[in-house]
Amino acid sequence: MDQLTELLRSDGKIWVVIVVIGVVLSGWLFYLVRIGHRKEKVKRRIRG
Amino acid sequence: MAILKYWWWKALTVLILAYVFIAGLMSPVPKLPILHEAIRNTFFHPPLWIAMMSMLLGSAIFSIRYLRKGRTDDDLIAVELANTALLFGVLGCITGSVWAYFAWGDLWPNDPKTNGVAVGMLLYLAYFVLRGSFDDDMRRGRISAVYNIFAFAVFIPLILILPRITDSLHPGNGGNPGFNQYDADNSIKRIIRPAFVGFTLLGFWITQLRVRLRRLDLELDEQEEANTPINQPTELPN
Repeated sequence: MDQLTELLRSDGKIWVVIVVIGVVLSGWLFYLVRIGHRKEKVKRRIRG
Repeated sequence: MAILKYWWWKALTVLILAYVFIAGLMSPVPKLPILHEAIRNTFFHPPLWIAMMSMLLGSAIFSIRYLRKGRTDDDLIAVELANTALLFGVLGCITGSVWAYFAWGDLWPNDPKTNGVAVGMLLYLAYFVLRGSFDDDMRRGRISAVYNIFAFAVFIPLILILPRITDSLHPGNGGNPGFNQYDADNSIKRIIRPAFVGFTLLGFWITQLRVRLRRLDLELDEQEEANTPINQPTELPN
């Protein structure tokens, strides 16, 4: 972990930005996938 | 909200977000000590909060509308707006943690803004718990709508006003200079302002999907209710 931190700290910290963007995008993706699952549930209800 | 039926605002959302993410990574930024390239997080972390606050404002407005007109649809939109707002809040907390770790040296600095937002999120979690504790739809709608309006009225001072009157690490709070000081050539504003709009629009887009699902669910419930025969007693009970 310390090595990783050193690596991330050593340069211009662009990695921090990449991690932040990754968090945002995967958060949105997670929520959308969950909406997809709910949609499947509703579909099953309609077919009975 | 009839405007949300059109498609053009979704195209606008895509365009704005594409611009924000590409320009946010490539455009020149002010040279700052400690932060270095991490200053680019201003294009992705604050817009989450702006989007969250816009959605919570929307949620409070729909709760007021529900109390005035009593339409189930308004209640449903209020819940889903709060739901998506909570997602944006959680993402804001995580991205803030990551940024704070490299800029301030702590995953959760003891900052009035961070702590205020933690309390605010708990307020909204309590809103969902409250909703889950009613069996009667009408009572659930009315009481949780009142709670939602109060939660918003507490949330805004907690994250916008209180951090400004005490010591805070956040720029523009507790007597700290805002980013304007470093942004003489508008290189930050040029991207962060569209980002505010883009993130908010995306939040409403995601909410719309959930609202449509809920409406479908509600309609199916009503159909099932209409199809089940009502058990009428053959004799009147004494």
